[in-house]
Amino acid sequence: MTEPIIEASAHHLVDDDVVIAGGRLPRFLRHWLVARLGWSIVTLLGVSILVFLVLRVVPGNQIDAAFGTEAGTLTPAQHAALAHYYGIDRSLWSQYFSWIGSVLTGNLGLALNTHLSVASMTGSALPVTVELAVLATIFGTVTGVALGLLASSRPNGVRDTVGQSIGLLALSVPGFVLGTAIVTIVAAKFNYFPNGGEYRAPWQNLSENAQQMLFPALVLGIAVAAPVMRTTRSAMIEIASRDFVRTAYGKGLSPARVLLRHELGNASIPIVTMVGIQFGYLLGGAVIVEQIFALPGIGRQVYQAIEDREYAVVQSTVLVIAAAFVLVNLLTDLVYRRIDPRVREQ
Amino acid sequence: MSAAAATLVAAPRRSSWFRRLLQSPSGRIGLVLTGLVVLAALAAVAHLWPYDPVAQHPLDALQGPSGKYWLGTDQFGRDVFSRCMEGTKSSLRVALVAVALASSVGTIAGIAAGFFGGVLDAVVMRLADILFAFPAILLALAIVSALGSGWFNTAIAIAIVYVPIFARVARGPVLALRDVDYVRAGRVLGFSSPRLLFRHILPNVAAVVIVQVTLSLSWAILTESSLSFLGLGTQPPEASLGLMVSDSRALAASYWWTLVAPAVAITIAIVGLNLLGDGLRDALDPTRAGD
Amino acid sequence: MRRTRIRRLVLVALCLSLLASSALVGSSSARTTATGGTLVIGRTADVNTLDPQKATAFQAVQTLGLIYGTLVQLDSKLNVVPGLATAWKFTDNSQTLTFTLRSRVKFQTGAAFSSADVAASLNRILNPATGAVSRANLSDIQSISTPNARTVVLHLADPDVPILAALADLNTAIMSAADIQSGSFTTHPNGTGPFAFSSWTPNQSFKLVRNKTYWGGKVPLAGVQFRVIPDETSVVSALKANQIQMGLISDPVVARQVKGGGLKVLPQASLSYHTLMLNDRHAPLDKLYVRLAIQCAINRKQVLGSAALGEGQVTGPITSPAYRSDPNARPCPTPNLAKAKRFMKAAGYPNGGITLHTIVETGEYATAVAEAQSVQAQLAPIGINLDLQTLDSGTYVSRWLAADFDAAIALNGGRVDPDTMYTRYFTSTGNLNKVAGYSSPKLDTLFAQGRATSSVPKRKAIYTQISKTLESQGVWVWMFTAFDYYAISSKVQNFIPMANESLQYLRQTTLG
Repeated sequence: MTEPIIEASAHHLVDDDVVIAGGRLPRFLRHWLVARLGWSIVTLLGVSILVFLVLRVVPGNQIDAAFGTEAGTLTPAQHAALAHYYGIDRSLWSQYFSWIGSVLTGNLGLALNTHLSVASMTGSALPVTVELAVLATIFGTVTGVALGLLASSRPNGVRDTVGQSIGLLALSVPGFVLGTAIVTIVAAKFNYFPNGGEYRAPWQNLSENAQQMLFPALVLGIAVAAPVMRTTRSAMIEIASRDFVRTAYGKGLSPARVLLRHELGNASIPIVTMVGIQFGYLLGGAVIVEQIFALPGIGRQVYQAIEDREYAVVQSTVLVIAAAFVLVNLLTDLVYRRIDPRVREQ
Repeated sequence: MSAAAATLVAAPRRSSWFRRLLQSPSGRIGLVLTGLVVLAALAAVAHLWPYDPVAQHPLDALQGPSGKYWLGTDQFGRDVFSRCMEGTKSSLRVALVAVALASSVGTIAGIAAGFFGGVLDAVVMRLADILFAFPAILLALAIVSALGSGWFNTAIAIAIVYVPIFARVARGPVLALRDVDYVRAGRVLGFSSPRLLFRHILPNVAAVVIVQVTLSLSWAILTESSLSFLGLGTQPPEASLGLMVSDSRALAASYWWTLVAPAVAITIAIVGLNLLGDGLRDALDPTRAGD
Repeated sequence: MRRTRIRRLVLVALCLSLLASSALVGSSSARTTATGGTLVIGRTADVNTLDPQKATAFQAVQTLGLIYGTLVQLDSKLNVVPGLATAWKFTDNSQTLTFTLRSRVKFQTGAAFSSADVAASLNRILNPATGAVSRANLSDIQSISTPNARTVVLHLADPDVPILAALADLNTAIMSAADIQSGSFTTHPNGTGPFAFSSWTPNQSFKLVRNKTYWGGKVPLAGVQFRVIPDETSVVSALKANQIQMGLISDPVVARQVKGGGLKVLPQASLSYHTLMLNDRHAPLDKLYVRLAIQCAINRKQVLGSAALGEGQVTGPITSPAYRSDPNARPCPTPNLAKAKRFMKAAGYPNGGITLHTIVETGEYATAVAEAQSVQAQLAPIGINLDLQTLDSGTYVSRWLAADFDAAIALNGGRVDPDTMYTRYFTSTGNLNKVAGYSSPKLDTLFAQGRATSSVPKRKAIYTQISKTLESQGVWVWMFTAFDYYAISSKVQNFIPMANESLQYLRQTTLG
């Protein structure tokens, strides 16, 4: 699924906890961190309940998913034995508490058809997605900020139009169309499709891994670049009109210095927010890109598990993704505190 | 918070913002493209198409663009041009309803959370976090499974995924404004909360929300495509632009028009809506009047 | 002045990002391709279980079918030929079936194979706690005796000739008694087939190596590797880039993209059939004339053309070559709208006005939604409105099993023996009869006769009659069989695709 896109401008999404960080910064930071961690646990608990309930709302069950239409040939005795095996004959309360209980003791559960542990599956899938998300975010941020600066350097001028058009085109091309086009055309013209080979982690074979990551990171990066570009543009335009920028020019500071220190410095707040959110979404797995480029990432793991109605796998993986998401948010806010002049000036 | 305070001047009159919209190139182009899209959708509503978009002509299947079929035909011999019109209507309908739901619920929740703070704020923001951290596909699957498939339920599914974003976007400026002297003064003077909200806070949130709305519309059109691909969106034989694109993905290698036509239609819609959004924001925001 | 600076900054940033991406490409070295005798096969989904007796998804069946052996097996024309049993005979009015087992057969871990393994395997299927789907086909077995290490005797409650073909199915795979005891097969499959399990990385690859002790002689390939490439378009790309040497494709549109570069496509007609299942117990489908009207309104050839680019064959109920139904022996072999309207009138619906809630599966096979739309357009003129509900496969299967539909667009698996294929659907005691929505005393009698008859020509007559009954009663709308596509590089030789999707002939395949 396409990642939701948020456009943030300078004063949106600012967490009040951050802004009102008074003079006693270190102690407050400690309190703030403790509070944030507390809320994170509440959030994760909420996610665990939601994912559990949502899975039970979706029709179908593990037996039907595992055997397909052949499940109809099972006798009642066989059916009962399987229901017991999958644990779906127990009450919802008992199912939830035995799952969350084992998660709390560090056991993420087992895929009941394949007998694989969720921890080991996630252990191999998560690094793939993290690498993809990092590469896509780097590419998207660099390109997006560059295009945003280009566009904002002359609002409504030719450069703006060019920058905007590229951004909007990137926004309007579905990732699966771009991905399929690359896969088809590059393979047909150059007989090149690195993703057809066995997946290699960077520590196994760096060059092969880089080739396998190139196209998917590009496709996702373009999706990241569009909102980053738009955020950069609007933030830069807004900041350029502010008093302190005019003052800085008035003081005779060099344009480059004003641009980098004063303008981009201030604009980086919404940009960092934007990038953080995009990165968070990418961690949830870009199912379609992972499918097209045959990358064994976390998005495919969840999607496959939903299809198989492997409840424990879906629940635990979603919880891991949510934890990563919460962590990224926390880090974004920390970065915020470093770059937000209102906090720094204290 | 100087910028936020600066925006607290009296809202400009209606005529002036529309004039400003027409003055900016992005506003003009956006208006034209969006007008085109809306026109196509309205024509579809009025059945002003060359062929019935679901009528099959098996003998004319997979023909390229011609005088008879302007944008060619698909594998059932259905007219791609007519289906693009119908698809524009469906996509726009889902996107508009989804974003209308998400933006109203999300914005109200965000403003309330920001303005009243305390427990309400904590609850709203935690709910938003939970939805944020949740895989959208799973959520959509559950909603459509529970409510049944169909365009309205697809719209609800997309809306639920997008509510937390609007809540966050709206809450930010409210927080900033809450403690601004102007609003504080209003409180001291005994102005009621509704009056403060509607007179002083809502207009300032509007600019932010409008931009978010146009971006969300683009995203909703693409999301509907992914959901249709999974059978959770528009139901065949109805057309939506997204469904047409995902349906013709494999076919496009041999019959390009089946993919290109709806993809271009999506691009026109998204570019138009975003340019219009940009123009509107610039026109509505008094601080940018000089740009 | 200020703008020039910005432009430079932008240029630098763009260059940096380009450099970063080109550095990724620049560091590339020669790619490794499959060398020696390992055949790499690309397919869209992974194995979902390692238990051969419980595998139903075709990826698992294909893969485990290379590792495990069965008592009897099928040749390329789907005749039953010796497998782990070299000979068999029905005695006692087809109520006793005696197998003579092959000698000097070893499991891949080295243990010798004997009648105890056969008994343990079949008993595991019969044990309800196992939850094995093939139990339904073996339910006539009353007891199993093993007079000696080379002989197995099945004592049947009723005459059951088709049980022989059922024993060629992977779901009746022979496992080692020791493995069943220890449960080790759930993580390390161990059979008597041509290839042995090597390793499995879920969602990525499944590796097999040649079984050096295979009873059928030396296996030419050193190994087989299955690679998961979820998108069929990407499978074709991998083939073009020589990352794989065989691609399994189901979408005819994608199969057409395979051309040039020493690649070729082997289309194989499948036993599976595309059908519009009707729930004949739901009004107004309980009226014969409504069903016949549907039969006459549907243009099967056109459905095939629209949904599968015409790649396939119009079919009747029985798809197995030996018993194949004549697609022209049906009420309206060619569509006849006037006749369909007359049937509607006779049924009491001169103006139509019938809505059928129709379930359609998405994601499992490429043509389902297209078939549904084609059928929908064809039924509209006689006033029957198909209300299509496209569902993800998990939801579809549950609705299907609960018979929660008026009509269902379905791709049902075919079987070698028409008894195994349809008894479960169309006999009053069949365990899928609720889903099939139709049974009659006449069909019950015919199926019972078929089970008790061992002469092939006599059986053929019986199943022709069954097929005719199903069609003349308009029970379902059998539409067509499609192809499975095996896209291969020219280096792949001696591979024979099979109608039941088995890859067993990899045991004789070579990489030139």
